[in-house]
Amino acid sequence: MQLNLLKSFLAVATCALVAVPSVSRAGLGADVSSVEADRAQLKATVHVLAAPRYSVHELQVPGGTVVREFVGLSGSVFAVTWRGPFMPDLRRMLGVHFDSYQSAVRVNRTGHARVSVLRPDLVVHSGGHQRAFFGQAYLPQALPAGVTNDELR
Amino acid sequence: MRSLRIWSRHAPACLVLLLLGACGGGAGSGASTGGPTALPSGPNVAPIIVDSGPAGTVNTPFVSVTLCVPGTATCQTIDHVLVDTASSGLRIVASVLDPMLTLPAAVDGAGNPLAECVQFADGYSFGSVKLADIKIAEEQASNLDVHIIGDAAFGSVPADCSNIGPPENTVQTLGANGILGLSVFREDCGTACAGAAIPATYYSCPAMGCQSASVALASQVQNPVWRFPTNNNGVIVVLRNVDPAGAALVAGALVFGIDTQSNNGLGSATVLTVNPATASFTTIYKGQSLPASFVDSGSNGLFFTDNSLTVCTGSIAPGFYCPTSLQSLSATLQSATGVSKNVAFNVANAESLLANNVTYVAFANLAGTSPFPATFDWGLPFFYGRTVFVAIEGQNTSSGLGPFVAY
Repeated sequence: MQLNLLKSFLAVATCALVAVPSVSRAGLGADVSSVEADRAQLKATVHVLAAPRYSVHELQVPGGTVVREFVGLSGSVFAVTWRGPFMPDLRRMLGVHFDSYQSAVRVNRTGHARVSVLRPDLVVHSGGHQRAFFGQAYLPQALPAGVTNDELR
Repeated sequence: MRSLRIWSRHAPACLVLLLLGACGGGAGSGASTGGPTALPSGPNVAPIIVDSGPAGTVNTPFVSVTLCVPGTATCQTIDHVLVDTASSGLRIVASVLDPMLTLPAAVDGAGNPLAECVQFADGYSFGSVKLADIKIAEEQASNLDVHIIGDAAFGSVPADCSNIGPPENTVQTLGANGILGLSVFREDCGTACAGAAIPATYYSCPAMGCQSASVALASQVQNPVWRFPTNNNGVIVVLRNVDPAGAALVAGALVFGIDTQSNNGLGSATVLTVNPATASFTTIYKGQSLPASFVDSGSNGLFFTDNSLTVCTGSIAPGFYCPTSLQSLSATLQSATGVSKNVAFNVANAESLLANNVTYVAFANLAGTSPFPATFDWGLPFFYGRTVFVAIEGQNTSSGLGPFVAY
């Protein structure tokens, strides 16, 4: 019985591994092509700014919030920031890291106007209040050399 | 060991029909004194208490609010509702409402019930919009749109709402039995939600499921104060001083109206006009201009960026400041019109504060890092020992139209 369970678990796990490449990825850690998918999903307009070590894809989403996705020369999104009257779709912006963000927030609340998640693999700062939100999320291990989080605005 | 998260120290919610102020103050050891020489009193004054609340929080101010089925004497007083100067609207967690309090649904033009996803920086609260007569002190608002958080009315939470972050649909996750939002705004969302269906805000909810919807200003969840017949131009939050070591209990007063009665005059307070779209003003701190600053009684610390302050390393107070000695600091608050006023404040070691006396829940010297360098969040420590005025947009006062804050 136990063996059978283990087998089915392995089968599920294998399926999950096989399925990963076909899952549409977005947000942190995703490929630059995901920015276009984000634009379509969020019904946003996009504006690209080039910097020496990365490009910034600025999405203006309906309601007025501005989301910026930072794409390194390797072609993957290593940071996102937001500022505006409404919170962005963080599940999309944080991508595969959204679940660990949620778990970290649950044990670390300090009122409703601020949350900081500081993990070796993920940093998220979210702040503000009704009609004025702002935040920053990045993958510390994926920051391009010489780039500090201070310039990710 | 306790920490600066919401730890579980459950207090029973007061669920008493037709009984005003069933739970509330009561002096205890460690109660704070000083600050404003005498707390204001009168029919336009509701007592504020800072205690550990229903979810074991620190620096959280509470009041009691009475909700009634519109036009009836079927009412319930809810204690431990968070006083929040950075949001608008009354929100109550459904689980603390007596089933006998059957509030009618707020509906759209087609008769479909409305629901709302209210956004916070750290998550969302979802639930139906209902109509209630509400009473705080002797002030009343009739047929007010209020938000009932976490009710079972609409089954699942819309995906665009839960995509914001973790849910805050329970007393434990919200940290209170409800939120009384008393910001400078009349409605929680405003013209943006009246003009378009914004994701993760309002929904029309026919039987087939909730759809994102625009909602007219008058049908949005309302700051109750501007709907009072009198004393409706803003509020004053008055809190006693807190000793450097902290306090187990802090008394205060929530006063309705600004310069409308003998007990709510502006006096010598400095009026700071705020940005009419964001409610923000500028803080000048160590030569830096921080234009996205705000006053928030719902934040449990002062939150700002100062790389010279040591950040706590333990698990008790992550993201808070832990200087080895008390830091005496100052900043200048500045309005868009150039009016400014200085504020002196102290930053103590957050871990020491929390560890020294586990019965203390109020700390005047608690501060932490900001999620954004261009902001200074003047949380509850700012309010201790002060009288802080919040004037509502479009409402007239002796110092002109809101929105403004004054202290």
